[in-house]
Amino acid sequence: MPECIVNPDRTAAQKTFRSGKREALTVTVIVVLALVWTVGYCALRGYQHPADSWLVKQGIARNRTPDALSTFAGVPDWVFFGIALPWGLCTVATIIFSLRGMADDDLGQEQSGEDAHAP
Amino acid sequence: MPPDTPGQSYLVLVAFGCYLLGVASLGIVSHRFLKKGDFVKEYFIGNRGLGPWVLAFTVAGTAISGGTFMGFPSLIYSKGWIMALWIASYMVVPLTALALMGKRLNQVSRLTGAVTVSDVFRDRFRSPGLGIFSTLLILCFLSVNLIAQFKAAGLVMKQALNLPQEDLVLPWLGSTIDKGYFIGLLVFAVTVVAYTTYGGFWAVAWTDVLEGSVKIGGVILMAVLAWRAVPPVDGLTGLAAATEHLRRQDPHLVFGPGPDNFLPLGMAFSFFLMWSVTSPGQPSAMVRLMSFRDSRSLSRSLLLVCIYYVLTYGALLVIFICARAIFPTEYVRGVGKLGEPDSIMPAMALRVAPPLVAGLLLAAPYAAIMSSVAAFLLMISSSLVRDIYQRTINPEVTPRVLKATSYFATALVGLCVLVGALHPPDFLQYIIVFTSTGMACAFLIPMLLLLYWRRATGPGVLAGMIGGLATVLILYAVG
Repeated sequence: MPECIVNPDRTAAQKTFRSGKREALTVTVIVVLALVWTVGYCALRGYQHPADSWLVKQGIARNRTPDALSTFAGVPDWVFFGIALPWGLCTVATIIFSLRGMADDDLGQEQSGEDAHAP
Repeated sequence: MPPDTPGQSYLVLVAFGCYLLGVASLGIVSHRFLKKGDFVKEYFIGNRGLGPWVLAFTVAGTAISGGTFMGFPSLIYSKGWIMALWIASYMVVPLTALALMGKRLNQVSRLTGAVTVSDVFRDRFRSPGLGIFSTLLILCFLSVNLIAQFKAAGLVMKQALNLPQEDLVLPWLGSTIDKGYFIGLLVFAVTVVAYTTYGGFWAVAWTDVLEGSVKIGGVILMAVLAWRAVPPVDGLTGLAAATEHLRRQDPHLVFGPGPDNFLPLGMAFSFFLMWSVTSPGQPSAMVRLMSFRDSRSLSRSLLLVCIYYVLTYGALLVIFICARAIFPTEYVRGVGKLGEPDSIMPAMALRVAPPLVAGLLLAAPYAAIMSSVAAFLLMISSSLVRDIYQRTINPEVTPRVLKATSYFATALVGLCVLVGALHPPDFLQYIIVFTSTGMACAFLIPMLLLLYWRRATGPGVLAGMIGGLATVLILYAVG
């Protein structure tokens, strides 16, 4: 806790600081995972790749042609598995995080008037 | 596409009128809250009393602007399914916007008594210079952004109400202006400036709830209607039929990178990062994080915002993918005979819904612009009143004078932006993107370091702000 902040209850404030930091790290991990899955999957399955490319030969990417569109639940398969599915999982993760992952910390007492800005 | 008949215009006008009446009522009710407690805290941050529902709607309302209901639909219609990847990072935006620093920012602002974002910077490092610099940045970016938002609102109103296209002479400015745009702009400005000035933060927050309800209700209803309106093909109906229509029209509409190489992979990566970091980096979003009641309000609003975004963006994708199947060429740029892609939102509303419902649907983009503008307006006036007047020019100001100054500043800012929007610059979306990314680059990392790094210093944070700002300016200048 920075020394210039008036803080009548340091223990509670430190606890809030630590859980805030832990929650920020959790958010960062979820963002990175979502980024890798979404952009990675769509790059391999939703974009064009030459038929003779290494990725296509290994079965990692698909050679998409206008006639090779496959759909799932009415949307292109790469949209469903590359975007809708991770979005759904992120939603579930966010709900769990909001219900279980976020600590109900004390945010401190409101400072007012001159006290708030006192050195 | 404007309403076709006078009857349609009338019903759309009734729907708009009901909506504006609701907004005005909330402004009046909110004013009653200002009569108790610390005026500045109540007027600018609602005395840190936001519960989960209001916090969720005001965060979502500030983030979802006019572009979401005008520019984004136009892009889905023009570019097809690749727009799902373009907007995909909204799957993590609730987390970055609320959970990344919400709790800690609220804690620091309580312990310092901060009312504005600049207060936080100033008090954390006891640096008036840092406070003033951040205030000036907010003023510059938000003023430009507001002019663009006012213009968008004037255009939406003109289009929705089919206001006349004729020249109007403005004698005091010595220039002419499109009469329809002027009327639309004036109605918008008077409404939003009046309720924001009179009701302050609570008016903005509660109208966000009303506007958010209109938006979410509007898009879900429209998605159902659009789904049912898609012409069947090969035994397929609904979204499956729409996807097949798009594939037959142009295969680029169903694969990456979309027509005209719209979203190359590098750009897709950048967009994912851009959406997820610009949302928490906006000072207007940070102010919301300073105003919630307790940790529980934050966690519950996170849940609500994430569901809100899933429904809103999912529905928008469905509506305008279906729109491309329903209007294959009519609004395609350079080909369409009925208009430009920007007209697809009102066109779909009037095509699939009865006129009165269409009026409410057309209020959705208007509501989106209104909620963003109200939040920005209050940000600017709080910068002027709190950061510049109260904390820099006249620290001994009495509460009575402060109250009068707050009302005056909010109204004055609204008037100045209205004058600026009479002859606004072109390229609205680019201005909005520029100011949003500029603020995120200048504020996000300095704020994160301020909150979580014990060894952060005032000069270091100032260097971070200048570095972020310079990076954006240089990249825009270069490319």
